[in-house]
Amino acid sequence: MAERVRIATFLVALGVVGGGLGWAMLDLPPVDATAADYGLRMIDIAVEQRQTANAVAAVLFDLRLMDTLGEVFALFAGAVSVQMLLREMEQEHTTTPDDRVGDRPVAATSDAMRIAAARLVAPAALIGIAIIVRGHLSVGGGFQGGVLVAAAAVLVYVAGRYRQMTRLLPHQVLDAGETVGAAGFAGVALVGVVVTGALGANYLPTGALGSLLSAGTIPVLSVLVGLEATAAVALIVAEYARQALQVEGDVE
Amino acid sequence: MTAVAGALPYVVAAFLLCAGWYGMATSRNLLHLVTCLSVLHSSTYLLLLGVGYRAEGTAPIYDDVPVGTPGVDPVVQALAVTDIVVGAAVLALLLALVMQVHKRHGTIDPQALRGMDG
Repeated sequence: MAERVRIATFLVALGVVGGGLGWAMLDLPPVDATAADYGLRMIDIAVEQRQTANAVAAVLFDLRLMDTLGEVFALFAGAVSVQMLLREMEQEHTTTPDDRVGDRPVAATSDAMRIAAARLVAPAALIGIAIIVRGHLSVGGGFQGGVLVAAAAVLVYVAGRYRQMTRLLPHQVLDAGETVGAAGFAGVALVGVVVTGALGANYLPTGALGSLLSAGTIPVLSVLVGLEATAAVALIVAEYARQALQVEGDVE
Repeated sequence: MTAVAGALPYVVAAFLLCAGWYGMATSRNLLHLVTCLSVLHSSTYLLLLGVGYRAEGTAPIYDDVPVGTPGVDPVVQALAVTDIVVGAAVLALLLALVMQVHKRHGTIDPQALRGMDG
């Protein structure tokens, strides 16, 4: 009964919000009608003043750097909080991982899965690094590439090698990577205050449009964000895996 | 572009918002609830990209199109990146919470959870 009342109340609220949204949308211009002058100016500035082919990267890592600074720290805080939430509780202990759940053995990973995953590790890591480093030249950037590099580590785990994954990327390395990424990002932004008097100013030479060493601080920040994103995502996955495979105990 | 096509991204965004919200309110499984939240969240990507679209606009990336070609708004695309990253961090945090709820209460049915302890 209580549930029915709850859902009825919710449906009334949904009707009000959904109806309100629909009503508000009647007044919106069609999707292709307008383009904000602000966004169009950003393209000109990115290409002409920053020599950055990827205007999205220029917005992320230069023109609206403050937003990205917050984003980097949100990701950092997310990974740290997952670690904190999944820490060992008082009644728990860490075991060495074995191929058993409770007292029954688990099926081995199939050969097809092992081979497919193992073959994908190197290409995933390489493409990820390329996407990070070429973020200012073409489609890509630190966040996108970082997730792909972390996926390479996860593929090691998918290939049935939990111990190898933890050996390849131990917690200390991931923690250090995350800290260097986030602190380095803030540091590069802060140096702008010293060099030009403005936080996050692009103070390195911008070079020529389309060359690898161009766009000033944008590729530097992209690489630091790539490090941060790689470490954060790998840390979150490693923490889930550790919780499932190594932490035991009764906390109820 | 007709009026219907012109409003389509907004309509789909509103639908995703309401569908995700409905799923969250009626959910009997915390994992399902978190998934519904990410459906709800995905409506914001569509809204952002819809706002930034421009007729005949190309992607705002000038590696293989001549400089000066009209592009769509890069600011909302950068906002969508921020949106996705923050969304992923929130999702990771919520899934960790679900793990702990399951450990402590032995259930992930939100309606079977009664009171707070610990």
